[in-house]
Amino acid sequence: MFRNTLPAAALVLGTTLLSSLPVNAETFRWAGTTDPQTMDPHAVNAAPVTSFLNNVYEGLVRRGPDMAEEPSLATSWEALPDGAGWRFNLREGVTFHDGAAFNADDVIFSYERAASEASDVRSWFASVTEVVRVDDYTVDFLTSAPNPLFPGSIANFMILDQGWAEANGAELPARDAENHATRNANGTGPFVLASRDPGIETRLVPNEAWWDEAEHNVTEAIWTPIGNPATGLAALLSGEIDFISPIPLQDVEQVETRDGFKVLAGLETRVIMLGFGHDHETLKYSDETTEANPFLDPRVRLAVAQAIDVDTIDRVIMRGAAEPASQLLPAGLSGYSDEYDARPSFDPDAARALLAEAGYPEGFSFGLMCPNDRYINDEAVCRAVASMLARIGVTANVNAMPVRGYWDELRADNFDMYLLGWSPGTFDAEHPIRFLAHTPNDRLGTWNFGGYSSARIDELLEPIQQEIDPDARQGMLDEVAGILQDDVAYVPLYTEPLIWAMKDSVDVVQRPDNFFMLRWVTVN
Amino acid sequence: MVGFILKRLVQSVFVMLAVAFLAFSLFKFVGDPISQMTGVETSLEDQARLREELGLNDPFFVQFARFTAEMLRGDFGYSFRTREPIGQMLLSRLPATLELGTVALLISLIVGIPAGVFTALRPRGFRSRPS
Repeated sequence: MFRNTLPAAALVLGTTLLSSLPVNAETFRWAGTTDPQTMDPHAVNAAPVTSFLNNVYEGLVRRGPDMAEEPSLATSWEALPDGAGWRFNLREGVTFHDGAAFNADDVIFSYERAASEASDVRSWFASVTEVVRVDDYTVDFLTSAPNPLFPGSIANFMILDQGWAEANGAELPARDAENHATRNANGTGPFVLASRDPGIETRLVPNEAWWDEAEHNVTEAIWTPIGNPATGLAALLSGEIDFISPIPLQDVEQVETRDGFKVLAGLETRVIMLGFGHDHETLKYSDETTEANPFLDPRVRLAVAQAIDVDTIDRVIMRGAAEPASQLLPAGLSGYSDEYDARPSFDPDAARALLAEAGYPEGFSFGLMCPNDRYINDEAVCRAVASMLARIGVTANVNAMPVRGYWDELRADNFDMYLLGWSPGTFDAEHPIRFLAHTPNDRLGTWNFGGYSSARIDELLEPIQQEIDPDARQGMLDEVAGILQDDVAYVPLYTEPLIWAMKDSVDVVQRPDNFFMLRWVTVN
Repeated sequence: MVGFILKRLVQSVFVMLAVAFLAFSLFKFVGDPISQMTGVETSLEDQARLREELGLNDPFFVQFARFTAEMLRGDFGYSFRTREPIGQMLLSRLPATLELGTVALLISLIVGIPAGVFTALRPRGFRSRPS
């Protein structure tokens, strides 16, 4: 019986393999670990969603290959007198994918939708008091105080067609359920959503009526989420897909030495750092009973910073792909302080002396919380930190866990020290100050798990947000960078690398925010 | 026979309840749904409001009762990974499940019954003894 079925099975297998080969060269298949949860640009403020939807929807402002702000649905913008807000002059003749014309009404509708309580991106509009329709192609965003960064901060604010959303009952984003905009899209962007099978496959085709000149040569783009990076890499090497991001660091060499494949390694805008429990009276995870939390003493925090050899971590664990960091944002981003460019030197002897001076000549033990599936080799980095601290007599009990429960533990104050990565959403130094350095409350310092608090930094945040003069603003940012370094509020370790792998025949642009833009893809 | 079937049916209700309870309690260990549904920039106020709206502040047994009641009505809620209604996801995969189940049943019948008969005929035969 089996003798007859075997050839038939082989035939079926053979045709499946054949049909999975690319039909023509310009069909582009790409993969990543996380499927965007929704096609609604206002429902979830998470990188997989924003990155994907930037191919389909557009904002008033967009970012170029080097992250510079460029005109998109607005052709130009200018500050209103007296810091009252911003005027955006809209592009004429733009149509949505369904053919509807774009104008000021769509911008106002999208603003109301994105700033509503049902939206996950409403924090972008915290300073906006009103949006005024000046005429069909002019819109004013009025702000409660001068906001020089506003245009750049809304580069991911995607514009929906009012008529389409209303006709389909998608006036508001659906955060915990679905509506028409969850699986359908109608943007103005370079690609049109052709089909969507959540978690399986999403197909995009070029928007023939796009207002901008297409630089890509893709005729169809097929996205497949592949949860396991090793499986994804196998799919790339077998030719099933053309591009994958990310690949495990340890596989870079394997791809580079293979004919027909290449790796694009750059730096992401994410800084990996250590945080302390600044508001913890005592240690939670110490083996001995210590009275006070040693990390309350800035000398102990400096000792930690001086005991960690970031260059070795970079060389051994990150294969030289990372870049040591001195601040809460990577070097070169807007507002980065050149004045405080230097990290504390690696000096275990000085670290030991500082510990003795602080009253811990014998060291102490504590708990280091760490995710094990969030950042590149995160757990290995924590273990390396622990072994480096052991050299100055401090024992770190590493507790590594999956990221799905990690933030809850940090919010519940279950740490003595923790590992955190931060990528400033606005690509400006104000962002980490707002989220990591300001004293925590309901709106500010929401990721400042350790409760670091500096009255001066709290006082400077608002002026930094409102200052128009670049030099005066940089002066304040330098002051904050100095305070954070003097206090050793965090120990910035390194800027995380960004590793993309693809076929040799594919050319892409790697933007430091890790957004994958199909409009720059060419397949040869 | 009818009594036996009835007994089994009643048992199955308890089994399903127990499984539902176990599955539901497991969610306590997979992390806070709110932090997985929202982005990094979402304010704590907004997170708290969403938590309240979704009834996540209610006592565990209230949440379980609501979960069970909704299941009984056929309302499985939405997947927060894909934002699809779960019921629809189950339905779309039902043909494959049925196909697998049917094939498995067929194999067990076609292979199982003759094999059973065969071994029953020659209980001590060499081919009736595995290993």
